[in-house]
Amino acid sequence: MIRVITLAEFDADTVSLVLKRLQAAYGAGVELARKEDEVPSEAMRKGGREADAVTLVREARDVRTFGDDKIVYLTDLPLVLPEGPMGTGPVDGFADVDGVKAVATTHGLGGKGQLAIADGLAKRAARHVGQLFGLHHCYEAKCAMLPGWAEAWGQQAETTLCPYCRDKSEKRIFRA
Amino acid sequence: MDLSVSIQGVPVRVGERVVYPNGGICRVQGVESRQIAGRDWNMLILQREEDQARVMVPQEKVESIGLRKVASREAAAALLEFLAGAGVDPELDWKVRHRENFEKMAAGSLLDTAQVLKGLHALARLRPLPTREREMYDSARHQLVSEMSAALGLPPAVAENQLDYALTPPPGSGRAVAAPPTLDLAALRRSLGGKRLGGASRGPAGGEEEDEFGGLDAVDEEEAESESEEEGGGESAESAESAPCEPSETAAVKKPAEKKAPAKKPSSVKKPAVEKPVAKAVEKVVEKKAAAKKPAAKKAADDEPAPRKPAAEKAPSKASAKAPSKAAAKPAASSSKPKASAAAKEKKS
Repeated sequence: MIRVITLAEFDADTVSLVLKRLQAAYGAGVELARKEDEVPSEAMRKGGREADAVTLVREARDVRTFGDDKIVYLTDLPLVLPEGPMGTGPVDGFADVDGVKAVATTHGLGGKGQLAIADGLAKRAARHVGQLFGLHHCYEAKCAMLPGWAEAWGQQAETTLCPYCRDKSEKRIFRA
Repeated sequence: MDLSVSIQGVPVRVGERVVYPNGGICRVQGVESRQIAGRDWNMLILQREEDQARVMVPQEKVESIGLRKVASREAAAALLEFLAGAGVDPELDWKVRHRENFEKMAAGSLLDTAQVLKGLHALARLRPLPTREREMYDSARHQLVSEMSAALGLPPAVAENQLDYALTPPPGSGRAVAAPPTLDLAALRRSLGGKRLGGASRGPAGGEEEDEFGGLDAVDEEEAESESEEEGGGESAESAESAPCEPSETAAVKKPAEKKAPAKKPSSVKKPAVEKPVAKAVEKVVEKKAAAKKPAAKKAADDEPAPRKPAAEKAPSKASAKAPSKAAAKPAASSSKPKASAAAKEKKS
């Protein structure tokens, strides 16, 4: 089961679309577990204007019913990640790979020539849920595991996995 | 605690992280003595971090299997620079490429794995990877992400982001996306057994672009064949012989696009001259077949409209052109002949 928690105010249609798209992508049950939950204070940076994604995922509320449940937090805050040798690129979320919790943000969506907020959020959430299932980034333009900064990312509103990623995710879900 | 085991001259300690080639990051747990097949072995005990599997490596084989320590932060940064650098030209012969990549993955060094990832990533920009190579791509990515994560002290998701910042630079990063790879035409021809693609005379300037894409189709087909041979126990000799002809067919299909710009590609003008003999040869074969089938077709023509007839009509061959004229000339003679032939039959009987 994929459990979704909103950490900000989202309209019902957006949340509904995200749930549907996640269900369609992974074939697993998806439900809205909590609405407008609080962002952990430990994760707040710059006076609450942005959040540290790693800390947020670590400290956020765990609402699992079963051990293999996955939790996705949706927020509208800009997220930051630790810097690596290649610098800090665009951050649209974070997932504890092969773990339980992930976060996706709407920050940066809805601009001109970009996906609509609901579509973009669903796609971002799908990618981070994929990482929870152990999937890696994919180069297929139509795959939901395509990195969010890739050129082709905004061209496909649908949240579908390529055959390879779908097969892999199904195996992981079945094994779980 | 130092153990009696060393990797590349550096002693291994308990709790240290090492990389098992093609296996992932493992944590050293100690050395145990085991009796196997009547012989005492000193085994280095490792625990794989990914799934907590226990791995035992004989002390004598630690070096030979390629066990090594996790790369340093500097090495990881240098590797990202390598990935972000100029693109590579992928080997087009599927078997050679697969063997090379397999050997690199088995060797398990950081650079080898990065080369596999970079090569397959470059190839994936041109066309989707076959299943096995897709698996190898994923495996290489997995190995690199876990080692980068360990080396840089970053969560795996962030390490993967770093990897993709190098492979697919985000807009505004100041790095340009590496140009798509150029294809080695010599290798392509070698992979096709020395056969030319789409015609003998092709200029270097005009034909190159088509060579690339036609070549890819050809390699795809060869891959599909080799896979089906391996999996399905081989194909008939007939299909194997016909395979090299297919690239020229695909090239012929793509010809109209090339004709659009005759000024830029003078070599493409020559192509029809090369392919005409082929078309003529095909026509001749059709003619011969039509001529061979003619008597049977004549007999059947009175009884029922033969389904093959349209095919014979399609080929405007000499035989089919002459047939109606003969038939038209015959009726006058044939009207007098039946009596003679009936008399001859009576004599014979």
